[in-house]
Amino acid sequence: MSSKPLDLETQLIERIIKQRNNQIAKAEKNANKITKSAEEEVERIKKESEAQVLSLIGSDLRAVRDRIVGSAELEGRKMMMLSRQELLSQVFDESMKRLTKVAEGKDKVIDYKGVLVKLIIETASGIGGEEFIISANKRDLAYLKKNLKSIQKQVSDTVGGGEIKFDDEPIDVIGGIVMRNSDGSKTFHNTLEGRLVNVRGRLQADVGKILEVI
Amino acid sequence: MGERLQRLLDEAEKEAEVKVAAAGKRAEEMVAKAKTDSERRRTMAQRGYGIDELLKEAEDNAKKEANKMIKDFTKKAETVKEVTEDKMEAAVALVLREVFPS
Repeated sequence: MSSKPLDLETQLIERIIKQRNNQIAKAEKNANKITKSAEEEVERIKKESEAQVLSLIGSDLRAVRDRIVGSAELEGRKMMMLSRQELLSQVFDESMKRLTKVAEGKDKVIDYKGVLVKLIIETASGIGGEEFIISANKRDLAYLKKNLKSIQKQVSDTVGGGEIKFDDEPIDVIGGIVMRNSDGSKTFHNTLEGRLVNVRGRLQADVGKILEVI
Repeated sequence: MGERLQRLLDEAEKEAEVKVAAAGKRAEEMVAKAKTDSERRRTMAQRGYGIDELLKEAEDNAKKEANKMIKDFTKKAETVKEVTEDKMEAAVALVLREVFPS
């Protein structure tokens, strides 16, 4: 008996099954394509919707952001300002220490006695008149009284006259003087700490530039 | 035999059609639902409803941004204080020059 018809039959069955499987696979591929396309469309719709909603409530969202971020920015700027102030205070605190050293005669570079005389001349020029009454701390008062003659001469040479007198009661300053005229109508504070306060008011920006914080 | 094979093919064709049709239906439903949701959200947003989630998201994002900003400012503020001795000395010298009468 020949096996040929049986082979043909087997081949036919195999071909049909293959055809069937191909048909199903093709359908599945199509279905996946349709699903993918739909998913893309859904994504597009969602994005478009999101954009529409955002444009509708944009001002509300911006307000939320501005409130929170704006407050943080303010806080940050305040921190920066405090840091700068702290640094500037360090400079002026250090300056005060140096001034104290100078006034106590502990600085080898700056001649405080010369500074003191210049302060007296500068103040007397500002006040004018016949008599100058000087107040100073105990140490400076002692020096000035001891060198009155020489100082008087320097003042007269520069200002053109005027008698120097002293307040016997010392004042609590690190250095410099307070001067008034005889009737007390004019008083000029020319102490080192007073001058430092004045410089601080004028030079904050310049100091900031040197420190590169402005 | 021939009949059975033909039936197999017919059934496969039907199964394929069902699969494609089901996918098509599902796709239509997905798109329709997305459109409905989108329209609903838009309408609600227009009336100011249902935007809590978006506002919460905006708030969370802003908080993140704010935290980063504060962190950056803190770093900058610390850097500001790191001044070299030379600069500090120059600044003090300027102050002293101005304090002493010329």
